[in-house]
Formats: sequence, structure tokens, C-alpha cells
Amino acid sequence: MTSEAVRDLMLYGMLMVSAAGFYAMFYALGRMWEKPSVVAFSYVFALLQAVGALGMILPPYLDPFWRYLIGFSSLVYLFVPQGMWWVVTTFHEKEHAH
Amino acid sequence: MTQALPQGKLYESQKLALWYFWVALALFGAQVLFGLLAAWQYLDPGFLYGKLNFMTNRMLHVNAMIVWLLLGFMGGVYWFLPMELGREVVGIRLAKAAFFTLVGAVAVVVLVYLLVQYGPGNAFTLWFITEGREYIEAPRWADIGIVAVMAIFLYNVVATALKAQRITGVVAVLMFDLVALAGLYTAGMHYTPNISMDQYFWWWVVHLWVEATWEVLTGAIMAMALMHLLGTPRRIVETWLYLEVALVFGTGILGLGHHYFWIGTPEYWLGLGGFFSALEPIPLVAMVVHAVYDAGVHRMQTVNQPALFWAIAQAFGNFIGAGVWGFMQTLPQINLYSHGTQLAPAHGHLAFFGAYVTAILTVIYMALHQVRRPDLPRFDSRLWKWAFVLMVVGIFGMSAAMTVAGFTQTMVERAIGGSTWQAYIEAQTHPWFQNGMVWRFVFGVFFFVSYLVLLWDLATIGRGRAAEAKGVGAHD
Amino acid sequence: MEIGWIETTIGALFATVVLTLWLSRGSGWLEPRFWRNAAVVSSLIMSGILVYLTVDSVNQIREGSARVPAYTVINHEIGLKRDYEKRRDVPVIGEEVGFFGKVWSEAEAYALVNKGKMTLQSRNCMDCHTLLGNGAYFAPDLTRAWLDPKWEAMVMPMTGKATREEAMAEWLQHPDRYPTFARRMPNLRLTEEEAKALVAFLKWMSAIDTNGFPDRFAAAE
Repeated sequence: MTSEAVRDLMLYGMLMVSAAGFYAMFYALGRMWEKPSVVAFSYVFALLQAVGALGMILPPYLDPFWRYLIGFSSLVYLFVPQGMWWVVTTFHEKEHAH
Repeated sequence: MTQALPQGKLYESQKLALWYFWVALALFGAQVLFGLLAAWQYLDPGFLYGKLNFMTNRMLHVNAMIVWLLLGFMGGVYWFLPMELGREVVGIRLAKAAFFTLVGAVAVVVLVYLLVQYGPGNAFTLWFITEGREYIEAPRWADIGIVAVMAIFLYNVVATALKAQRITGVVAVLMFDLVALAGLYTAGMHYTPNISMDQYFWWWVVHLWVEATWEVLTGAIMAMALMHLLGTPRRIVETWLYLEVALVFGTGILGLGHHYFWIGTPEYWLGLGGFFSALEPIPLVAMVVHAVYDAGVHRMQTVNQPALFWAIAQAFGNFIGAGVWGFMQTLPQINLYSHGTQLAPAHGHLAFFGAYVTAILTVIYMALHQVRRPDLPRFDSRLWKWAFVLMVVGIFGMSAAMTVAGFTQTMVERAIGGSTWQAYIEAQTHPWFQNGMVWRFVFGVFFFVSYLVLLWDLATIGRGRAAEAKGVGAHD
Repeated sequence: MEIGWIETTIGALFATVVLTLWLSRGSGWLEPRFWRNAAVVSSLIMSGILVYLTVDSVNQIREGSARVPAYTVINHEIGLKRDYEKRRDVPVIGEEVGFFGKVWSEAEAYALVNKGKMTLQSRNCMDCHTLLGNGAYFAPDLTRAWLDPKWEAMVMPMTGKATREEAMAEWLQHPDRYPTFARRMPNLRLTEEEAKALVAFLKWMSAIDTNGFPDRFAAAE
């Protein structure tokens, strides 16, 4: 692999996961404060996360298997914040109702 | 939760926990100091050359870290266990003896490291001076001592649970984890000339300790901490702990594969290791949501402010250190070039700090609250915020500097230069690399200052009239 | 039938989920019991696979196997060759050329490499260098050190020795005398015997099949 390919893969990987984290953080904060604007802002990071994943998938650096794997995890990241928010709130409501 | 003792009274085991905490904090200081010496030697290679070489400073830097984190974990368990089980820890005298043995042994090992440093190439050196295997350099006699101390620790936990006739979920996880912790260490106590075999089992200790058993141990301690700190119901905390064990052991055990890419082991490890570590950040992102929820529900307010902040920093630290910096270099295609560059310590510094240092500081602040002023509605000081901010900035600065240096090395030395001796020198003398090392040292000094602030705060928080005044004015 | 790592991985994850669901029938998935079962099942299944793979790996990395050569490899010429099908460099073991002017028997070669490994550990090499990519980062990676062009280009003329192994042994005994870079290796008082043994260890290590790490060492063809 060329040095440019290694550099690009690393930077896109960094972008993908860190954006996924910021997406989760802002999404949860938005829901917590009940501010739709913050939730909307979090989608910017969801988009960046997808850009990071595409940056790893589109160039021909990796073999198909690894591209599928990254594509799959990118899709998962899109729904982690909503899914996790639902789990956390349902869980705590259920427990506190006891 | 059970709390048999009246407010202000401590169990013997909790008094012992405090000893563990103070020794841990002292070794934390030693870790930072030797780290600074080693960092300075990157800038001035002649500094202490031939007297206290980089190899010795570096060995002390990483060994101090392992020992202080371990002491911190043990302190955390001794602190919460009697509250969890509603009785004094069984075999407390044995536990105290183990504490002094451990501290004495650490002192001897450190003195030998400093004064003898290395020995001739024979079994005597491996038994009595150093084993020379990164992270587990401790000579063989000390290895046996560590396993013995862990066995006593395990006995304390098991015997107390049996005597109390109460095995909570947290305690069950703890016992299971301590058996694995002590058992895995013995995998690192063998000598073989075969370097591939050597590194295969060496990773059983290094990876399975740090990325599996330590994670679960921290999980168990944080579970007990959150029940007291936030009053989270036991069912929630225990369910989370089980979930964490399922995720950590479910992905971490075969995640071991990402260390088996290049040590001579078969090719299937490239696939296995890459697969599990590529998916590893997903649960860490999910934990961020949970941390935001927990913090938000309590509006960042609790009886113990510093403990709450360090607990929240743990979720983020784990995600950034292990998740982002780990994923960036974990795919085998990338790791072929980034492995063994400054990117590894960048990841290491962030991940150890994020996952473990934060957890131990949470517990120490909780313990100090109960020791000094359990009557205060709000345990707070002005200084802890400074320590918190400075420390986080310091660790991020160091890691960022090492990341830039590591990128340079990956490009110049590995991808372009063909990884030779000369290519190594070219990368090390590249301006980006050299600037990275300068900034790493600058932020290292920063970190050291924050350590001093932290120490001052831990010594004074909850003492004197300042605390009194603040306590009276506190609300919520 | 050949079972590859993908089948193993998917099978393990599938078995974990199915077994957890079966053991937890009757409990909702937000109940502690469900996750306790998940924790136990996933730990057991993954540890079981690790033990199984360890038996296989240990057999494949035994000295004298296809991946990790016998210690007598020190008597042979060693090189790297690009394997275009696997897209990586593989070590090639050439003809017998001797080592320090003699051919070492199996027992002698073992004793020598063993001494080299002991020397390596006793001098904490891993706290400056990396071996197979693991260690500290203050000094170069030693995985392919034997094959490094610098020995011939710089160290042989500097030490005035006629062969690579002699030049390496001399350099290792007095690294402070022959600087190659602003950072000098300290003199760790290696005896001649230890230095020779260490060179043997390094030569043996350079013949290990590391799945191509480091990539294109010295631009190998």
C-alpha cells in the first residue's frame, strides 16, 4: 500500500469513529435537554461519520470483506444513539416504576 | 445497600484501602517523573546517558503505572467490599501483611532496577534483576510474590462473601474476574528462546489483563461506586455490569488476535483480530449515551462533585482512547505500517488514563468524602476542577503530539522508507517527529503540574474552614 | 471441510446468541438474568475458541515449523522475497554458508540462540527497541535487523571487520564507540560470547515468517 493510502485510511478511520462518538453525545444531550436543535446538530456528526466510512470504502485500498465490515459498522453507528437512548430510558423507567 | 456502621466510622478494610490509595498515588508520581526523564531523553539523548539510560526510565515508567493501577483497584475493592456485604473483610490481618509485603517487594524491585539496571545473560538475571519483557520486567521472584498477593486478595473476597452468606452479582463477577486475573499472570512466567512463543503468551498477560480482566474489575468497582454516588438501583447497575462482561469478554478474548498479526502466528489471526477490533468501538459509543444520561438526570450535581466528574470522564476517556485511537490503527492493512510507531503510545496513554486513572480517582474522592466529612451535604473544593482540567489537557496534548510523530513515522519510516535502520533515523530526525517530541515533553510537564495540584487537593479537600463554609452554603 | 476464521467467528457469535436466548427463556432482555447468561455464555465460548486456536497456533510456531525456522537456520543464507500471490514478503532460506566461520550442529545452534535470548532479556532490549514490532520506540525495530543494509554500508567499514556477523558482534560490545545517530546505544557490557549469541538470535529471528511485517523491508524484491 502507498503511504498516501495508509494516511487516508487512518484519517478517515479517525473521523468515522470520533464523529460517531460526537453524534452519540450531542444526540443524547439534545434528548436530555429536550432541545430539537441540538438533536438536529448531532446529525451533522452522523453525516461526518458516514463520510469517514465512505472514505475508507470507496477507494480500492481494502479488500471487499473489510469494506463490507466497515459499511456494516457505519450503518450500526447511525442507529446506536437512538437505540441506546431508548434502551437507557426504558430501562430506568421500568426500574424506577418497581 | 447495606451499611452496618454508623456515619463517620470506618471498617478496618476501608482503613487498609486508604493505605493502598496513598501508595498508589505516590507511585503515580513516580510514573510521571520517570516518564518525563524518558521524554527528555528524546530531546537530549546525552542526558544521563550511560547512568540512567532510557531503557531504565521507560521500564520504571510503565512498571510504576501497572503497580499503582493494581494497588488502586485493590484499594477500591477493600473500600467497597464491606459496604457491599455488610461486614468486615475476613482475613484482614493477612490482607495487611500482603500490603506490606507488596510495598516492600516493590521497593526492592525499584532499587534493583535503579542501582543494578541489568545483568549477565543467564537465569540469575531473570530471577533476581529483570525478566526484560516489556511491562512484565519484574524478576521472577517478584512474579511469584504478585501471584501470592493476588491469591490472598481473592481469599479475602471469597471468604468474606461466604461468611456474610451473601453473594451479590457484583461480588460474583469480582470473584470470577480475580481468578482469571491471578491465573493469567502465570502465563507470563515462563522462559523460552522461541520469541514467537514468548510473545504469544506474553500477550495473554498484557492484553487479557489490560483489555479484559482489568476492564471487568474496573466495571465491578464502578458499579459499586455508582450505587453510592448516584443511588442507582442495584438491578440496573448489575444488569449493566453483566452486559459489560458479555461485551468485554465476548469481543476482548478473541480481540487478542490484533496482537497476533506479526509475531509469526498463523494468518487466520489477521482476520479474527481485525474483525473483533473493528467492531470494538460500537459498545464504547453506546456507553457515551449512557454516561450523558446519567450525568443529565443528576444535572451534573451530586454529593461528591469531583467523583462525578471523574466518573463521567471515564466513559468519554474509554471511548476516545480505546475507541478512536484504537480503531484508527487496528485494521491489519493499516497496522502493518503503524505497528510499533509512536501511534502505539499515543493510544496507550489515552486509553490507560481514560479507562483506569479516571476510575481510581473517582473511588479515591468517594473514600475521602466518607473519611473526612461524611456530614457535608456536598463534598467540593475549588482546586479539583483545576486538577481535572489540567490533567485532561495534559494527557490529550501528549497524545496529540505522539500522534503527529507516529503519523510521520508511519509514512517516512514504514510506508516509504522500507523500515530499515536508516529509515528509522530519517523519521526520527524529521521536523514533524521532532516537534512532536518537544510538545510531548511540554505537555508532560503540564501533566506533572496537574498531578501536584491533584495531590494538594486530595490532601486538603474536606479539611479546614474552607470546607465548612462551602458545606454550609451548599444546596441541592 | 476447511473451516476458516470467518465461519469460526460467525459461528461463535451465533452460538452465543442462541445459547443465551435458550438459557434465558422466560426472562425479558432487560432483566439481569438475561445478561448474566450472556456474560457467562460469551466468556465460555470465546475462551473455548481461544484455547482451541492456541493449540493450533502453538503447533504452527514451534521452532522448526514452516513459520518459525529451526535454530540451525543461522548456518544458512537468509533473504526476503516478494510473494505476489500473498501480497507480502516471505523469508527465504538459502544455501549453507556457516556462521562465525563454522557450521553449528543442532545442539550448538540451540545453545547459542538460547544464550542470545537470555542476553536480550537481561539487557532489557525491549525497553528501547521493538522486536516483531513490540517494545519501546526509542531505537529501531529488530525484526529484520540481520538483513539491514547498514551493517555492510556503515558498520563493517567502521569496525574494520570482514563479515557481517563479526561487525555486528563488535558493534554490540562497543556501541558507544561507533555512533550512528544522535541517540547512541549505551554500552551494556556484553561479553564476546553474549554478543555472538545475540547476533545468532537476531539472524534466527529475521527468518521468522511474520505475515509480511515490516512491509517491503529495505525494498525487498
